[in-house]
Amino acid sequence: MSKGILTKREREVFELLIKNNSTKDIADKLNISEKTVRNHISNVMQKLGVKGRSGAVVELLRLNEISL
Amino acid sequence: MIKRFSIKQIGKYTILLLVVFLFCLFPEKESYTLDKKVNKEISINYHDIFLIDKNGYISKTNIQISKKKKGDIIDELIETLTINGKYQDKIPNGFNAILPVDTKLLDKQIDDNILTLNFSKELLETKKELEEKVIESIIYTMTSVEGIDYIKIKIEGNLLTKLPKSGKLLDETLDRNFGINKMYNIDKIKNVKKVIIYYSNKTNEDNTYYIPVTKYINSDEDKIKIIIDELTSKISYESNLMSYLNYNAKLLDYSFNEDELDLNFNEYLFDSEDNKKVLEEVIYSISYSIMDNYEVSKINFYVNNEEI
Repeated sequence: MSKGILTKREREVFELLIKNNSTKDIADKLNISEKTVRNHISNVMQKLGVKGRSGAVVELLRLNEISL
Repeated sequence: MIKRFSIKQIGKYTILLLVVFLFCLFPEKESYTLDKKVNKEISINYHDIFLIDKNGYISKTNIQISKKKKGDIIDELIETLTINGKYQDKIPNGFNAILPVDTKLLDKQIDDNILTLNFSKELLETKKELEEKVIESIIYTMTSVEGIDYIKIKIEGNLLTKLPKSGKLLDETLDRNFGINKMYNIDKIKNVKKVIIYYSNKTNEDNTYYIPVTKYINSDEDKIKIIIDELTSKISYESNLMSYLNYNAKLLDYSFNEDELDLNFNEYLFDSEDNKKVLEEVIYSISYSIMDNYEVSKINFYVNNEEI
């Protein structure tokens, strides 16, 4: 995948989030803290200008930044 | 008396000879017509193509193609997808080409089931709102060519990995997983599923055609159930996406047998109580939807456990 608006880490977080992983699951799988996971999600929502996590997921799917 | 008889006879034979002569003059015309008809029957083939319909959906329709070799078929389909292309007269009424005017397929390469298409720069002149639809049309049309499952798109030799106007990313290798006529009905991040549903519509000449829609939804159901639920749900006429499946039709159970799928419905699968027939549009909508979501080669329909 070519470089889009997400960093590699942000993409990893959202690819896991869309597969029904909780914040704790993602933190465990990526060896980072839950707080860092939340920060990544929050940063992405800011970049996209959306409020909720589901809004971010829709926008990322629209942009083909993540896929199912 | 004898003289008069002779003149009559001569006249008769002259007319007869004239008729024989005329038959001898034009026998080739008959055989030509026959040959032409036979040749025509042999050479006409139809091929799926995904063109834009009057409502802006990329829709499945078909065109007559004269070519037989895979490479030639690809060229003919791309030309037909191109606005003002060589084969515009083949496009059925109610549909339009979508690739920008003067777009040329510079070259192509087939490696097993991967087709690489190298277009001229005119392809990038697509309007922002149509950029994704152009890609959908290319992917779905090209993967309907036998033996082609994956597509790579290049512009003058460079791999296209981002749509220039909308900023949407493209994988290096594309397939039908890219989606088509996408709709997003997501209100939470749990159980997000992607399902392709084939709806139908009619042209002004009353010909039915099918519209694949990739729906993103929240659901913990299997895709088969989602497909049937969607096709039986109340249709919004504003969306111009129709389904002929009865609102009361229920999928009672289903089972996979290797690459075959058995679907068992209640009696509402039938067109009406008296008429034990299933509408062609219902069979096609369900079958196309399932074939695009599952690796199955045959679907068997049952009503209350009896095969139809």
